[in-house]
Amino acid sequence: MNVWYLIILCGFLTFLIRFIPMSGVINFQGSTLYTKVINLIPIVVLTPIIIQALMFDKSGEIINSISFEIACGVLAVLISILFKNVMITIVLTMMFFLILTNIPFFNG
Amino acid sequence: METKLQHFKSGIIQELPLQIGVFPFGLIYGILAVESGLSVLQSFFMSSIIFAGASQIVFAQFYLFVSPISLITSIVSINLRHLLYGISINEYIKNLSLKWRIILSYLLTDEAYAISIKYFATKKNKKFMHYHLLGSGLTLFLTWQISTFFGIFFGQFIPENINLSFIIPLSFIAIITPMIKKKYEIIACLFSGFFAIIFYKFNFELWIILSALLSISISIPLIKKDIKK
Repeated sequence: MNVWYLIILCGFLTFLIRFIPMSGVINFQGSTLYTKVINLIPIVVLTPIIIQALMFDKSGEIINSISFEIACGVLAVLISILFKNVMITIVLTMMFFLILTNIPFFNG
Repeated sequence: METKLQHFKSGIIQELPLQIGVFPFGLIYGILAVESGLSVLQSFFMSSIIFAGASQIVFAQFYLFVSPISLITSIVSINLRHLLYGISINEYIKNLSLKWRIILSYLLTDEAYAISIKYFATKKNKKFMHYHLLGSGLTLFLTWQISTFFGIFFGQFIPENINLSFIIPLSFIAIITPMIKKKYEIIACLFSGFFAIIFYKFNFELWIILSALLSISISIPLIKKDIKK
């Protein structure tokens, strides 16, 4: 198949997946249970993405030892609980992460 | 009450820190796309036609080695989580026109969703709130196009030892941690993490959506208990 057609088809399908639930065609609505389940979605969808970034290496293998990524992930949770601010969490944790990964003393 | 412009500006400002993580990701895609044999035009325009980072990287890596059907199935599987994003965003955009729904659907990415859903949940007055998603989505769209461009043309000059893409999981941690307050939310979070390890380890293509749906199923009895209280 021509690469351009393939790109356009993949683009169309990606858009469709995003558009269908937002189109208003299907009427999602309901009870308190439904609302609470909907509010859980950010937590249950973003957690796997976080876990994959922290616990797996580039080849898809699980990291057995405590890595810099896991240590920084735990630190980010603590900072986030403490400050409840996205920017502060990112800046403080990234500073710590860059020190760990770029200073030979920590890096072996 | 906030104006359209205030919501729009909030979307841009709150989305900006995440761009430090998105930019290297776009660079990586740009480098990979050209190296994989895609033309400069194909590499660049894929970022606006598909506009989904992980899918574009999978496309560039595998389009020469797998059948079109396998490639399309993989990309659809990767993006299925957006169905859940759409369902949850739909709660806040019920009164919008089709034109708005089309624009916002196109701009709905992980980073824009994460920032805007948090904003939506904290605002009582829902009028003009969609301008926040427009701001966050457009900010990400522009960063993605610019970083792809730089990746295509200047990728070879970029040092590899600064892992800035680590900002993306960190920002997700910063976004969801304050959202987790109740017992069922903690349980759902722990189980979705646990299932993610298992499904990702065993190469399930639908690992995100499976982890999400299973952890929601486990949490439902706890949610019901919470409602009865």
